[in-house]
Amino acid sequence: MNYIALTIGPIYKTLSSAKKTRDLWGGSYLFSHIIKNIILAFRDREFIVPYQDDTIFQKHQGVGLFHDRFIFKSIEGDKEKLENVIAKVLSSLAKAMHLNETFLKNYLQISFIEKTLDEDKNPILELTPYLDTQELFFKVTQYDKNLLLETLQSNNSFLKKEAFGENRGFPTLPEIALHDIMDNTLRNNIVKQEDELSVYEDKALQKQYNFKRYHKYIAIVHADGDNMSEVIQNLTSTEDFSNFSKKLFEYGLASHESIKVYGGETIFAGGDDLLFFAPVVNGNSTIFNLIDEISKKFDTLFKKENQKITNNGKQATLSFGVSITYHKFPLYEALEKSRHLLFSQAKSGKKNNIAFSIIKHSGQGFGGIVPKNNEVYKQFLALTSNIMGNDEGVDNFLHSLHHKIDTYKIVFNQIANNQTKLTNFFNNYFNEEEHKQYQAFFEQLILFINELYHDETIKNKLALIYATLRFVKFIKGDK
Amino acid sequence: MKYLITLTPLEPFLFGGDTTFGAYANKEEGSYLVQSTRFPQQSAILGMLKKEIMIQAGYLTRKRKGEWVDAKFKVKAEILVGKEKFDITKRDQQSLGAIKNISPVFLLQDNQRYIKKVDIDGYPYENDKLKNYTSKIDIYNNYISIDNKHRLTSKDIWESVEQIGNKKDGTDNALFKKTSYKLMNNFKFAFYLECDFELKASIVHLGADRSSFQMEVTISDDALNHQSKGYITLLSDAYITQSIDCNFAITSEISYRSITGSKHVQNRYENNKFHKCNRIFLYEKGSIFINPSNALIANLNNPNLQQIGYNIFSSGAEK
Repeated sequence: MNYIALTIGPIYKTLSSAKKTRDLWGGSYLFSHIIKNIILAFRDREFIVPYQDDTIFQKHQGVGLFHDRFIFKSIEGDKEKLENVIAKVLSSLAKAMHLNETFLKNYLQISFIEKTLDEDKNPILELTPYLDTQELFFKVTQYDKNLLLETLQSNNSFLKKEAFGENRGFPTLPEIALHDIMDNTLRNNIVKQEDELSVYEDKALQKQYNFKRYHKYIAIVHADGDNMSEVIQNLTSTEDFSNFSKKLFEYGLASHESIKVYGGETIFAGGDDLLFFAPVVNGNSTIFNLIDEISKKFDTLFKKENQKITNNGKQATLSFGVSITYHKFPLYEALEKSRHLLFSQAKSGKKNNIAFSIIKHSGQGFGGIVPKNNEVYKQFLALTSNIMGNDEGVDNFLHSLHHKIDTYKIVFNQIANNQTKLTNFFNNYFNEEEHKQYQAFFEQLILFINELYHDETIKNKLALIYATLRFVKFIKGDK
Repeated sequence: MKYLITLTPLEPFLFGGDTTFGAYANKEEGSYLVQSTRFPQQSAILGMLKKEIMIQAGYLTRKRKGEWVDAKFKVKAEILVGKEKFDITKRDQQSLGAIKNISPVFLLQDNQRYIKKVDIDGYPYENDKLKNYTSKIDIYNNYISIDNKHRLTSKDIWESVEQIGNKKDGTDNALFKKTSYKLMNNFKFAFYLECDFELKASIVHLGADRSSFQMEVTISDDALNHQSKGYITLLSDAYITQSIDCNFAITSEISYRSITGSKHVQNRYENNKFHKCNRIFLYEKGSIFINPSNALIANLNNPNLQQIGYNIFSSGAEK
């Protein structure tokens, strides 16, 4: 059986040049568009990845749903045909975007291979190493100005039209960050300015709309499947591969919907790879609630496949890197941060983690890693949801809470696995009149800490407590 | 004279890539965040040497208001360090005065020399793929000793130093964050130099922050040699002006921009006559090319670049 496998880039380099949210979206959508149009020319072939039916080719999805690779069963002459198809797709795209065709052809790194495999071989497992290898061969081209980036920044109306159905732009950073207080007046105020971030200098507007601290920050979230190769190994029939690809597609689409409802904007959702912007808070939900929803959808979709895995308790799960940064922080750095959080932290150990980091205007930051597969996670979610009032004194309260635990950490470490003793600890130090309003919060905090100290896998427990308290302070406080 | 020159950082250094701030940065490229590169550019080494030679020869006048070459020394200075500014796009050898040859910069630790090299030896190329390689592996983060085959990664050599600061112009948005580097574990930068000037040890300055380095000078006939079978390894960044014709390559890209300006060295705080020239993209040191064509080798053998340590590659002819 013959197969053709293709990969396209440079994704990371393109996204790294982005300065605004629309550049990030546009750069990503571009790759998805190219892959989609190449696949369209081979519609009647059997694709192993990605999933293929009419819905995936629908316009106006608003997001790039195609991964940067594909594999299909090829017939004689397909390799030559593919060369021609690629040339045609790039040529029409360059024309539609008013972009120099030579520049586009030289800038993009497209490689493909054709291999013959025995019937019993798994094409994804066999061909992935070839694509991984091909991606290492980067062909440098010379240019003084990145014409692609320039085009995306000035006139990506072609892509916008295809993605959104009319000439509307991808939202600016403030439009995303201020989602829960957005109205038409505020939106007009933002988009009519030359500098989209100038809304953050307008003190009158901020007072009128009651800007909170979290409104000045944006979250970039990067998610990736863990142990997918365990699932892939168990795929044998054509039907298996088709179901697997279909589930990945459904996951992408479902995530995109959840993100939209929450007020975020997806940059890409291809395969098990997901990247999106979101406000830190939306009403009673935080970014962690959104992540939980996405994660649960994935777990449900791949439940059957996970039951089939017999290797060492490994399961296909999702890990997340969450980078929350001040609105002035360069986007490409925030993007790199979310990548680093995902691949170097969340995907360490048993994976299935959320690694988060908040970097404040001062440059100082904090963060932590929360594993998703246990009770601690449930309590973490409950604690970080909006369960406290909007009292003015909340900043000071949370600060003194953190400080108290830190001062008595030696004692604290001894008693934290005992709910009664924990309750007594907090009752003793926080028994003033002003603390009565935080009763519910204390109860939840005790549950969280208690579960944490019964957990055997999480090493630096105090660090996670501090990071969690700081996150709550970050979203509740105003300073 | 042939020398081994070593540069020991005396403080954190910031080798600017494209993105820097300060007087040279315009609004588009100036940034809230700046990240140092790990190695200095060969052209920066050349610039440092030219300046240092002029200082040691007594031709450079250095005052608080600026630095310049007095008219009476102009001719002698031009003989000593050459007339033209180095131009990476020129193939014909430009005159560098007393400087005859600079080798690629490498790392030195207790007499062991390390170069950056993609880990092709750990993942050999067979039948169109790298054996045992997956995309989770960072094949680029690999530094090998050419003296004893010892392998290291970047965390064994560099430590990053983050600093938050305020720009001199003191506007509201002057806050910035920069990441400089320090060398750890007694590592130094080093290179071989051939020149007709008796260079002495000194403290020199390199990088966007003009960080100081202790420069030591030792007589040495040695050279940076590395053998590889079936492929060539770039020992330095390389400017290649044709398509890559080979069986396969593992490459990464690094961009280059030099500062152009008036012939005289001016105080950088004066009327800003400096601006960055066009951007050039180079193949990064450590990249490898399997079975390169003769045309590719010929393109690499650029005399002007090779004399200052660009476009240098290992021999790979033997099998």
